[in-house]
Amino acid sequence: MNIKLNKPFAANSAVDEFDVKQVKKALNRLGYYQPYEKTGITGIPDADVFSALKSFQKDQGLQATGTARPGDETVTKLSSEAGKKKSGKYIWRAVGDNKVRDSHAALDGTVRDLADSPDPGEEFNCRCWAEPIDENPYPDAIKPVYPELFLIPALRLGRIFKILREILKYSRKKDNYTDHAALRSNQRSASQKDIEEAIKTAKEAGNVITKTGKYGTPQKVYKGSNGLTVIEETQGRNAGKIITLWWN
Amino acid sequence: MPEKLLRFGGIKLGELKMKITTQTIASLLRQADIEGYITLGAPADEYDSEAEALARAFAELDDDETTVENIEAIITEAWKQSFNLEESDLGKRQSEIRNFAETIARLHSATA
Repeated sequence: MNIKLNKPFAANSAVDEFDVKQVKKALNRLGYYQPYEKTGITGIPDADVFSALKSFQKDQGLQATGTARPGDETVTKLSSEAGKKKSGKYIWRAVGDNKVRDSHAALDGTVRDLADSPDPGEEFNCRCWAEPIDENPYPDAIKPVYPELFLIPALRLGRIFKILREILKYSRKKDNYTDHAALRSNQRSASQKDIEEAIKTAKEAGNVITKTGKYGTPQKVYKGSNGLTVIEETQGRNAGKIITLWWN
Repeated sequence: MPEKLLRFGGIKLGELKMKITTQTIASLLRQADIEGYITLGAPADEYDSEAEALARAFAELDDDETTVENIEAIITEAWKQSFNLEESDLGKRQSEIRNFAETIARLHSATA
């Protein structure tokens, strides 16, 4: 594995998306980084990747800064360690959405050898990752170990993310609403019937305004005669979804 | 028993390290209006669900974990979930989310 960073890699700087993917893949292969299962390996510089890099640096006897610069010792070491042929097994994991290529979807959940090719994440735009199989999780079982030592930031953040998802997830109207909109409709006591009525009457009365959202996404604003305003995005990931609504 | 072990069973309010309230976060989210919904005309409580979720998540952080990076990661995750955003959408919001994370971190250090 030959890692070439385009920019300095640090939590407090504007990192390069491709650099993030390279570092994540290498750290994943080495067992230091596990992505969020709904996204897989992405170019988002989440806190876990910097924590993982720090752990790698510490284990390699490097200064544990959680940062790297193009061509520095961390990058060299990361490239060489991730490129080494290793023995052992892992579980191939894929995101599970409809963007996963068929060949990788077929590999999802299968136990593979580290020497097998391709590696998860190796092929272009692949978001798959390797889940380590710990064949002997307690090699030093006699040694007393406090459980909190396992509470590394990555796992702690994973647990915190789970709490977030549980609070924010509102699945009842998932298909046509963002979770935010579904929660708002519930808290603002707007029923499905109210929403349909608002859209219908707004169309009939010509009270549909097309606007551009804060980040350039086109939106339709339906001002229903029942007093409900409904906002729908018309392009992008949320095209056709209601993103928020309120009573006037 | 080490203090952190007490946290294994779940959140215990007496042990929370980050004490920024849901109301404060809601007020800051209102001002930041990251999605621009309030500018569109949405009521002031527009981001209250996110504020509640963030307050719960921040409360899980110990003092030494209350970094801008961790706070930013939590806000990013909340936004991704709540507003159904993908990577490119999050990229557009990155500077606003970062600014918000910095505000929270500053507030935390001022109240800690």
